[in-house]
Amino acid sequence: MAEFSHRSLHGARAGRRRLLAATFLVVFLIVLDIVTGGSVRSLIRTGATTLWSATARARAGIIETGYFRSHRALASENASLRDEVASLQEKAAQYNVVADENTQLRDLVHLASTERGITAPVVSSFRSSPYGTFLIGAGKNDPVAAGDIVLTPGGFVIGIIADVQDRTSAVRGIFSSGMTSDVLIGTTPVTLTGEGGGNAKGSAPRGVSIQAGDPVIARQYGGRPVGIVGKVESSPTSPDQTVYVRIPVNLESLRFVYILHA
Amino acid sequence: MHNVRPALAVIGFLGAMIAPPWVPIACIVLLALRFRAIEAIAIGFFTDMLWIGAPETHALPLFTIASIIIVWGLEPLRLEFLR
Repeated sequence: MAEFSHRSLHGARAGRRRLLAATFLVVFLIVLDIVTGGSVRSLIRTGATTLWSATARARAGIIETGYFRSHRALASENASLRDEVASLQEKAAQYNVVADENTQLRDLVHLASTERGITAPVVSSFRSSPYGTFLIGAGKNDPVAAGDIVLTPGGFVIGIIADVQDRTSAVRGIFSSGMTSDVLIGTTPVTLTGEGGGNAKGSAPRGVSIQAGDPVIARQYGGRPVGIVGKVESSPTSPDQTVYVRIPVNLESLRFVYILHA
Repeated sequence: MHNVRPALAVIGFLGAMIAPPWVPIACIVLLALRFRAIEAIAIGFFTDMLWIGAPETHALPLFTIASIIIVWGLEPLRLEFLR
């Protein structure tokens, strides 16, 4: 037997109409964004960039009041030590890269010193994007183009320009989740699959000698380094060893990146 | 309860910018569970527009799609249990 409800459905109908309108509006805006080459994205990113800058100033202001002084001291020391470790690791990795090149008698010229590029500020968080992207404060006006290579100050490739607006661009990390890169570890070709957060994983034959700290080079990015080997795992039952690669830089501490035209 | 809806919406929008991706998703789900929230769809759309690459990269606006599915998928549940 059916039960009767005294609940009015009037509100439900009105609510559903609003939801339907919002759904169609969002679909319309996405189509508009695609048709106009990203005008909606550009507006939203410009607004968000402004808000990021404003929030950064407000956050700094709150911290400077001393309310969180003890926490700030610890956090500051922690951040400083992390930056120092990251910096030393990057320097060690750079040394390995140079040593590797010398061993193989490769007469490489450091392309970053001969190619013209631009420095751009990082204007977003690295961890917030569900698509493995981050935003930089350079766009069509600078000029930046889709496919340009994004480097750390130490010369490691961290991403590719995926979308360009007038003043901002979205960079897709080369180790963003699911993205594959063909690299060389020593002389061994390995296909790496990105796992996000500047980490990637690949497999190489177990007989090949790969050590933690070995530099990882990508030919598709002009033979530039893309990371270092973080860990190697092998099992006697498997013909392959799993190689974990990471970017030797604390991405969250990056304030500027260098962009090379592809 | 009147403050929960705007609070979740604000957390969702801010979370899309500065927090890990699970924060806006959690806000979308919580909003959709209790309300016929157009904010949930807006948060999904905002997240996609902020982070997605160019259309040439063929990336689907997953957060928008997910928010629409969640908001409409939970409608029978809301209709059954909520006033």
